[in-house]
Amino acid sequence: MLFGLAFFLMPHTAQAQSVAGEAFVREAANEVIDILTTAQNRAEREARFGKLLNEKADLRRIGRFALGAHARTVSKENFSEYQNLLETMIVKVYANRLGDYQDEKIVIKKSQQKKRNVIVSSEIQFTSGREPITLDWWLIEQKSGGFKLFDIRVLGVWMAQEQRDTFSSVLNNNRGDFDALLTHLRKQVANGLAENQQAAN
Amino acid sequence: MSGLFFKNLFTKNTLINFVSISLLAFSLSACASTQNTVQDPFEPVNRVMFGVHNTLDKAILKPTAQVYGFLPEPARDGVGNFFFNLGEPFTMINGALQGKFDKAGTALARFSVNTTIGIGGLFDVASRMGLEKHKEDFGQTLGHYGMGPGPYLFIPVLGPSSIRDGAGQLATAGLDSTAWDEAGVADSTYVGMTALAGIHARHGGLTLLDEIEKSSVDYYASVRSLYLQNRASAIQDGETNIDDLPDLDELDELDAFDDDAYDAPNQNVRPIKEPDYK
Repeated sequence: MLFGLAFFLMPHTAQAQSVAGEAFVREAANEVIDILTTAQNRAEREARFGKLLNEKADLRRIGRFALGAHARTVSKENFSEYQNLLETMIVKVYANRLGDYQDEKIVIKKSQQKKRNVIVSSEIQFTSGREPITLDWWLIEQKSGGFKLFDIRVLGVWMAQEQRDTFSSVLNNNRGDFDALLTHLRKQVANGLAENQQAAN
Repeated sequence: MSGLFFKNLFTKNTLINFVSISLLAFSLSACASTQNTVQDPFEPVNRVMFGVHNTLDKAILKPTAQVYGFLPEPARDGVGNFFFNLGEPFTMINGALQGKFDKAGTALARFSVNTTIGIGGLFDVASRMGLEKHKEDFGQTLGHYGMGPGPYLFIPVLGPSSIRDGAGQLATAGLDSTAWDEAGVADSTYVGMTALAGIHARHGGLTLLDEIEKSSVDYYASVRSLYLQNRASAIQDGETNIDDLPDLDELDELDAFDDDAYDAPNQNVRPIKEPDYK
C-alpha cells in the first residue's frame, strides 16, 4: 500500500520540482534582462546584479566548490576573505560580461532532475536575428525550501567549473599556498575598482 | 583551412598518416583516460608556447583582427558563412562516421544549397530554410567512440588543442590541402584563404578573450578549462546530461565549516574528488 502510494507520488513530485525550477530560472533571467535594459550606469548595474546574486545564487557553495580539494584545508580566516573577494569578483565580472547583450528573451527548453539537483536548459534569443545562445542552469533545492543557482553553462562551459580549474591551477603551481590565490584575487578586485573609477570620471 | 603548415607534409599518403596518428593518439590516451583531472603533463612547455602566442597575438593577430572589424557586418558574415560552408563536407563525413546520418544529411543539404543558391557559400540560405547549423570534426568522432582528450597542447597561432583533437586537425588539414591541390588552386590563394579564416576567427573572439584575460587569476588555466569543457560539450552535441555532473553531496559536509564551533582545518578527511570531463 505504502509502496503503491510512493510509486504514484514520485513522478508527480519530480515534475513539480522541475516546474518550480523552470519558474525560478524564468524569474531570475527576466530580472537580469530588466537590470540590463533599465540600469542607468555601470555602478547601478553592478549594485542591482549583486543584490540579485546574493538572493538567487548559492554563493558559499560555489566558493567551496571552486576550491576543490583545498576547501577542506583552508583556515576559517582565509576562507572568509577568499569568499568576500570571490563574491565581489563574480559580481563585477558577470555584470560586465552581460553588458553586451540587449533585446533578448529567454525560452525554456527542458529540465532534468536528480536528487536535489535540477538542470534547466534554455535559450537566449535576440530580436536582432543574432544566433541564439544556449544556457543551462544548475539549481540546487535548499534544505529550507526553494532553489538556489549553483552553476551556469554557456557555450558548453560550466562557469564554476572553470573557476575551480583556474583556482586549482594557481594553488597547485604555488605548492598549495593559499596566500598566492588571495594575492591574485585581491589584485583582480582592486583592478576592477580602478576601472570603475575610470569609467565614472 | 588550417592546412597551411601541413600542406607539404601530406600528399597521397594522407589516409595512411591519419590512421597512424590516430592509433598513436589512441594508445596515448588509453593509458591516460583513467585519470579524472585536467591532463596537462606538458604544462611548462605549453605555458611558454602560450606566452609566445600572446606576444604574437598582441603584435600581429589582434591588431589585424581589429582592422578586419572595420569591414561592414554583412561582409564579415559572408566571410564566416564562406568558411563554415567549406567545413560542411567534414561535418558530413564525421556525422556519418558517428552514425549520425540525419546530421550528415543536413550537412550535405546545407552544402548543396549554400554553394549554389548561397553563391559559393557567402550566404547562409540553408539556415533560413530550417536546415540547422551543426559542426562535427575528426576529434569529435574519436571522442564519440570513447577516446579522452589526452594531454592538453597549446600551439602558437593555432591555439589550444589536445592529442586527440590535434590528430583530428592534422587529418582535416591533410584532406583539405589535398582537395585544394586536386582542384588546382594556387598555393598563394590557399595561404591567403587560411590567413583570412584565422583573422575571422580571431575577430569573433576579441571581446570574450579580452574579458577573460582581464578577469582571470590564471589566463592560461582559464583558456585550458574553456577549451576542454567546450570540446567535451561538442562531443555530446551540446547536450547536458545530469548524470555526468560531479556529485555535490560532499559539499554538504563542508557546511559544518560555517559553524562557530568549527576551529582548525581538518587535514585528515578525504578530499573532494575531482570531477571529470566526459
